Amino acid sequence: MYQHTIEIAAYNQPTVLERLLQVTRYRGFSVINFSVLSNKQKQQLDIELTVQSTGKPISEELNIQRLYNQLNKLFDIKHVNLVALVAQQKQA
Amino acid sequence: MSSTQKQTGAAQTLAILQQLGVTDIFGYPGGAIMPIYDALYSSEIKHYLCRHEQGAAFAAVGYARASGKVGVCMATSGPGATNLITGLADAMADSVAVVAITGQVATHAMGTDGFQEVDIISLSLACTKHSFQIRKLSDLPKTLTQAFHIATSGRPGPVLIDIPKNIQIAEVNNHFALSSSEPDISPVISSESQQSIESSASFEQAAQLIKSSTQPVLYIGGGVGMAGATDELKNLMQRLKLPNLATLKGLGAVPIDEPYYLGMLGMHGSHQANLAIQECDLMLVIGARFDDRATGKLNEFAPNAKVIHMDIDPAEINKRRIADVILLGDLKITLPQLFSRLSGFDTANKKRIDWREKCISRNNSLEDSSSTTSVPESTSETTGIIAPKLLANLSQLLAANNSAADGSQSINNFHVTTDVGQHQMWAAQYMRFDHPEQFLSSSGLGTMGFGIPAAIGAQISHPNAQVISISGDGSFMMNVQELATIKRYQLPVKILLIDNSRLGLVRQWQQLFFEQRYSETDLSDNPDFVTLAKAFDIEATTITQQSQVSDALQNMLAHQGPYLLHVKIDAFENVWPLVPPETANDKMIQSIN
Repeated sequence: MYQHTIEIAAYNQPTVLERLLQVTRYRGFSVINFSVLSNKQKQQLDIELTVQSTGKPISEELNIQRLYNQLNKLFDIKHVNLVALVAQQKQA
Repeated sequence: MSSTQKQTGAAQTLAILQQLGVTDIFGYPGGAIMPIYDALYSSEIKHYLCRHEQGAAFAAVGYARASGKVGVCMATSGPGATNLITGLADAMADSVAVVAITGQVATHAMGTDGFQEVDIISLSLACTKHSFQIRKLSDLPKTLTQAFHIATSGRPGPVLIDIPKNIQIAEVNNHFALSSSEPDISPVISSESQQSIESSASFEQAAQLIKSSTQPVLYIGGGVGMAGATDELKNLMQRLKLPNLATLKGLGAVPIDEPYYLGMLGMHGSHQANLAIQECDLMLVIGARFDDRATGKLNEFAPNAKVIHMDIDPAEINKRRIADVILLGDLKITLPQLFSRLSGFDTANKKRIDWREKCISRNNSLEDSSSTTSVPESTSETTGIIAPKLLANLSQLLAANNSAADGSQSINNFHVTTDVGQHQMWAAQYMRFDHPEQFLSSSGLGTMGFGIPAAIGAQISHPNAQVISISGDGSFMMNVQELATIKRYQLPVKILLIDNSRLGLVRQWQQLFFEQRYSETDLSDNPDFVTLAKAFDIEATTITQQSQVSDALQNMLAHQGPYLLHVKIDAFENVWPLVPPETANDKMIQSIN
């Protein structure tokens, strides 16, 4: 099992969390960890999302890149950063 | 109206829509949207009352696809809003710019399970590009402007705006004037529109791949039409002189006089298109997304081909097929950029000429039709009507009528909509279109019931055009109430109803893959469609014999006003070729045997 961590900066709009979680689930990932902090200085939400694939993708790198592309399209998302493009091994 | 006069949220909504260029809205009133409908009473915007909100949504889709303008639909809260969802999902799947406005219960009642309250924003998450709920009247101008920008920028798509009733009723002193303000549309500068055009190096790489290929194919999708890039595509095709094929949504992007066109690829694509794509060594993919209907078994699709993928949406790149060269951006810009790097392309290269000749030698012609698929032998031994032949005849008639007196083609003078099923595939296979706006078919979502309301929207966007809705008997019943809309506005929509008394394509699959266990696909208890049409003051007639077809089609097209031509065909006619599920495109089935 591999996990990926994504940092997201989002505009603090009512539906932004619902949208990014919907996209995450729909594109084949489950959420392992999810933290949200309100950054008043930048007027944004700082989100850290740890996910893992629900299926068995041929390439974990390509799969997380696809999720990145979909999240990046969301209009309330300022930017998305894959903390580690190389998957991390889950601790047994 | 003086600037000191108050304006309600409802009136302001319509005023802003008008400033954004909206002239037509499709909708259905209800409690939570009554203030807007009251303001509509004295608005210059023309409202078209459909008879089901789903009809309104599809009318907006048809309007947008036929005209290139944003289609706008409107409904009340609760069931009115939920009835829009299918249409929005269709617009999402086919990348159509639609803005939907829904009423909502008052803000103080939201979340209390009120009458006709539904969390439409949650429902919209999966089927819109974005959605908004207005919580303050002061947000209305910016939100409406943002919504139109989102719907039309980058890859188009639907946007929903939910307006609580108390916001519609509230009054504001300042009348918003679009031209006098600088609307702040952040944060909706999408990543798509911010993508910089690919570097010169990428275009050079693409050009080199094309020049070094020996079996290249142009794979053309719906993105060409959406970008308004048919001229740019034509220039490229004339330069390259290569075999080319189209997806269902790409039909019409390739001009009728294009000599190396192989037809549609995919599950019901032409024999020659499917063989070409499987044998090619290079795919130049232009505004297409490798949909599963087009690719067949993905890991066996075009096994030897390198890929140049041209698209505006970065999320489509490498989603289904890895690209060797990516040309991201608006096709209106990227196609000429690629073209400019192909001046040294050798059209006399013998290997490519041999490849091209091999591809087009597989084309079949239907007498003098421009169809790329020959009419299959009918399973019927009677003089009954063969739907492919009927549609090929219709296509010839439309092309003939579309020519001006001096012989020049007047484009966009007709629009054909379809529903979903066998008739849709036959229309795609046996009709030719010269412009993407001529063929409006629910491709990605495949929604039965699309045809009639989409035809209504297309007709309203082009009042002088010939608009034909091709339907099956199953699909026809799904939004049959919109015959009332045709009657109400006396729209001269022509309906070609191909009736096999079956849910035809499902029946075909049951025949092929479910051992002829025909579960729930017998529709032989259909109503009398002619009587039904006449109940809506729509002239109608039935034909059953091939000898009747030519006159019947001409009478239908010549009729002033709405018309339904009911065509009975054999219940067991099948669509061929067919690529079975989980099968490569070159393993087509051509017949039952």
